[in-house]
Amino acid sequence: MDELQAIRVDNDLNLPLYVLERPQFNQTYAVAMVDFGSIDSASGQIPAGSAHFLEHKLFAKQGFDSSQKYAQYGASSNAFTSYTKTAYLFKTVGQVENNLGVLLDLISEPYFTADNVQKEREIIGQEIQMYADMPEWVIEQVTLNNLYPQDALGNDIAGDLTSISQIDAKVLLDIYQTYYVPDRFRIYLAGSASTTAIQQYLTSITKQYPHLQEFAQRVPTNAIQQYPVLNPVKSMQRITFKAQRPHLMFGLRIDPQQRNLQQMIILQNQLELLFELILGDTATFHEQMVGQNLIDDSFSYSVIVERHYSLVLISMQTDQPEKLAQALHDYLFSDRILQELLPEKFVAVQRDSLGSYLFAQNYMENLALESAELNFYGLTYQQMFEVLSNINLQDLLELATNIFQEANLTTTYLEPKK
Amino acid sequence: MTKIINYNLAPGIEVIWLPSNKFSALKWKFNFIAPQIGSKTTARRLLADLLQRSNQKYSSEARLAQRLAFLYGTDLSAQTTILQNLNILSLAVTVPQVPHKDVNNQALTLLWQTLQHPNLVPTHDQFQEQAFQLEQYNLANLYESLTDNYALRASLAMHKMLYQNNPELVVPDFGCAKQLSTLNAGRLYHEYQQLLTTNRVIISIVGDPRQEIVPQRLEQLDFLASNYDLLKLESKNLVELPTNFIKKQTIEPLQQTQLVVAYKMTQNVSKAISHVLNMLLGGDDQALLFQQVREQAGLAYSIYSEVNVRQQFIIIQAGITAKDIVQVEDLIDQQIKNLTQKVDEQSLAHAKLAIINRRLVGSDSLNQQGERLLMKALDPKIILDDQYFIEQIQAVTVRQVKQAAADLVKVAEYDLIGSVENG
Repeated sequence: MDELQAIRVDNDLNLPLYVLERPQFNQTYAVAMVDFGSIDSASGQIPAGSAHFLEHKLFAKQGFDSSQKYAQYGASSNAFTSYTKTAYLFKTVGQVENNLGVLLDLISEPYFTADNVQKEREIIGQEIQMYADMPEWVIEQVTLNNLYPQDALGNDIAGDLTSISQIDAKVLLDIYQTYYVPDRFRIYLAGSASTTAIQQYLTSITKQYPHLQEFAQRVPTNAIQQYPVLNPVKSMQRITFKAQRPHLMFGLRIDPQQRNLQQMIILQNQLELLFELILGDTATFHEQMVGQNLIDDSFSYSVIVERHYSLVLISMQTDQPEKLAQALHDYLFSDRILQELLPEKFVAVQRDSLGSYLFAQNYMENLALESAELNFYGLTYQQMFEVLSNINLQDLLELATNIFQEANLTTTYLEPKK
Repeated sequence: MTKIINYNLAPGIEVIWLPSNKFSALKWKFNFIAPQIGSKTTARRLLADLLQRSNQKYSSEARLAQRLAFLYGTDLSAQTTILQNLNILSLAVTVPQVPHKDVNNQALTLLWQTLQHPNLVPTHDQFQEQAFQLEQYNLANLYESLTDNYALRASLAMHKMLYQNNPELVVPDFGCAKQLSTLNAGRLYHEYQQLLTTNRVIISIVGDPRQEIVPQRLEQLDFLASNYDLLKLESKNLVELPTNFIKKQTIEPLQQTQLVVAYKMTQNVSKAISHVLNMLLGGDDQALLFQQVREQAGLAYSIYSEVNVRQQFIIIQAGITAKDIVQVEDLIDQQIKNLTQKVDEQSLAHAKLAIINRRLVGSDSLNQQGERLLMKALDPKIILDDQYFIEQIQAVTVRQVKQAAADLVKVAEYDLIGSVENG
């Protein structure tokens, strides 16, 4: 597994920068990820969607756009915002160091004007409209809102048309200066990158990008929100929406215990194994529901762990939402789930998870993103094999007996309006 | 490049193998190739779904899923694709290379079991009724759900308009509800028999650098009889595109409007020129459409173009606001006009670099390597070498691109108009 070891690149700018050398691949994938996401910008006086807006607008520089610079060096670029992170990415074949320079320039020097912010507002408005027609997106927003009332997690990552109308150049500059500091970044490159070449490049980078010196000296001033606001969960909501079939979603909130960040990743992996055992393709319940035509291939679940937030969303389309909701509820809150926790099934799902990490090594994007995210939790990609291997059936039994609490469950029905 | 190894086991049964240690996985894919017949498209997709879900030994989804999980998440998947005059039903395993464990042989045994011994009734004349009904139900539900994907719907509506004179190609590769309702477990078994006895078979393999497993497994293919038709991939343009401009509109209570426009290449244009033209027009975030419609005018979040190099047309798709349709249409027309007049060397160089880098990134993909092997077997004239591809792209000139743009003619437009007003 040595080839998965990320090498930290020493540099005078104190940037937390790592390289996963995979010379057999043509490409290099890079990410600069900052510990700042939609829930951070949606709290207090900052309008919802500000982190996402900042992600869009940071590409603007005086007289050019960072994507043009990437293009000159043959890279394609992208960015995304999650609940707790914002990530700036590029993928390139060759010219790794020059593209890294563009990435560092991108994150270190904002250029916001009234005009360029207004133009971006129109584009983001189109993005919000795009999601607004999707029933699966709508039901998820309602579920999150009911699971975390008054918490920023209930807001859409992109905000809404009203909130983005309140975002101007000053708002963007304020949050940039408050949260975009080197200490909150993790920068990873995976692929044909050379640690030595990058190290050498960084020794002279400030000649080309002098403002990096100033960026490197910035320190955090504001703390970020680590824990969710735990108001009572709204247990049920019905909505109607343009869709072909009824949708149903269960949301289960798992309240933070005395866990540190590293333990949250262990919890995430335990939850993934547990839900695969009780709801995955191999589960008796799954087989029974399929046999009764209550669920189909649209049935899925997702485990979400971000800082000290942890939740599970179970989503499906079904012709009999009431009957399925009752069956799923009765199952999750009974001892039947414990009957699925059998040693041979456990070995299979544990192997399945280990295999997914092996597959992921073929994807530089996955290596870079996963490594950057894990670093915020004090873990490395290599350590995940050990983390997974150390989980045992007893851990899952304990988890299963603790997390299913009626008060932490919400159910959303989406009835089709054709 | 690693040397590709070919075996011609019998008429119509070929193996094409790239023994590579680049990936931490082995991919072994059976490609069953039949003529594309419109009325059989859904049957082949449903058969693919049935094969990947269960077999005689692992007779339910749960049992097969547990076996696959036990093999460290080995992936067993089937799909169908339409390639020119051909319908390709593929069944593949992708096996993670686990240090100090031999999962490959067990995974390949599972693949063989799935192909040789599917989930049939004891009389071996039809699929198990319950397994059949499950897949039919799933596929029917999928068709319904796809209706909520408005970008896809608009794209399919355009496909239908462009392929209206070509009944064998008008059905998408995932089939349609009308055909699905006529199928039964016996008919599907007949399709399965046809698969084994009349289809051309190309087995593509990527991995196994120690070269231990492949030769052994090739001894175990006697269930494939060698009396196949040797189908060939048509290289010529098969689609009779509309000769007069056609436009259709649908209005629905949606926030966003989908605009799809198709342009036909009226002169024969090489693949390399087509790719460069498309990249300049709407292939990435530096392309004219992205820069002018999104970045300058702020009229779209998503706008892009795609080229069909065989059928010689370009499709442009955008998600916009209904009130902006005319403005976006004009901007699109203007960008085509710009390409006939103002292509500079710098833009051309970028477009070429972007295409070449995508190709090289594709070489990092296990799946794409497998697809290239299949294409090589179907068309031996194709040169897989990246360097050859690069040379072809680099040879494209500004004059060629301008000429190709000048020869574009708008042939169809489809608007799925969202009627919900936004503030």
